[in-house]
Amino acid sequence: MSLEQLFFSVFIANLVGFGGLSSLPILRSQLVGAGFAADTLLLHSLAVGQMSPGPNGLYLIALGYFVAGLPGVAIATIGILLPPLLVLLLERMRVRLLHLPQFRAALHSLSLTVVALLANSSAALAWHASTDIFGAAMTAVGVLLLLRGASPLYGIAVAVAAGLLIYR
Amino acid sequence: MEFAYIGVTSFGGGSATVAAMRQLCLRRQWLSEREFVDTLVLSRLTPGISILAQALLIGRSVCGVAGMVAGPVGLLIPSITITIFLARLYEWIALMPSAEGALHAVTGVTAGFAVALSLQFMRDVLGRGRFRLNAGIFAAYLALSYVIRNPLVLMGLAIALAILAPQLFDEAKAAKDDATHREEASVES
Repeated sequence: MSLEQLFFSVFIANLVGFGGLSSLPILRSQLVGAGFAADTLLLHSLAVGQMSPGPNGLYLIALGYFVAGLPGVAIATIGILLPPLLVLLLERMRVRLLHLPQFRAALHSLSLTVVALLANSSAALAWHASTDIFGAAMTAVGVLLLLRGASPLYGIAVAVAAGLLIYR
Repeated sequence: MEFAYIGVTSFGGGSATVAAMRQLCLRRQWLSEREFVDTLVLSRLTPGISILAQALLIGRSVCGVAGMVAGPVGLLIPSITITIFLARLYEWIALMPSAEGALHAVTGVTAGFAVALSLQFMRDVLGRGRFRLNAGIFAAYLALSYVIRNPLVLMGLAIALAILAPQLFDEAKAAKDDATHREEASVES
């Protein structure tokens, strides 16, 4: 994947999503298209992203690193910084736009698609990680821990400990 | 001014950052409570990572164009530095044969995190407006996502459907309630 492709993927994924992991489905399809082992790459990036502070959407920085080193980080950062600039445009048009039923409807419909696409992608990631019973069990542990409000760092520490114990 | 922004960032992610930005804005009298809530609502509607959009708006009202750069950049610098460091460490550990089991476990847990975050997101979105209708549309989109492999095409369809039949996606009342709730919540905290 060239730097331009990386920029384009990150930029588009952020432009049509609303932060968090909503950029994941687009990115996954772009990575698959570029011939990457997308699920492995995404899981590694998500693991690093979850360990770092800051919004969840920053897993893209780790992805940039894994794809192209430090230049990849720089490119991913620019791709992440550009879409929020649209807030300036929205601010100008808010009064008119917010009262337009079509605009509200489009936003809501778009969030429903993003959630559906994300459900699809995260199911694929879970399937990818569950190559054996241990992987499936760890996936279940991850779901439960995060839903119960545990820190991701705690979950990753549990995983490392379990992995070292079982594969001794 | 830029240093003050960077200070904000030492806090954790998500809502913790929003809370930290709010405190900073109020303490330094950059924005009033009302103005802060306005920036929050507006940046939630913006594509991309909403905290960055909010930092941009706050930065601008504090010191114009320089603030528009300093806000988001200051917010990102610590996270990016730590991310690069962790990614290097991760790469290095991944090369060790004895780490194979641990790595397998970490990918499992991370996939679980992704599922959990999707579930939380799903709960938020389906809860806006009429739940049954939302769930129906969600199911239809989910089914379509297995037929149409390009997510951008599906999103285009979703926007087209919303423009043709906005009444299907009417969440006007719910959104208004939501905004008032958010305002109340932030006044209380």
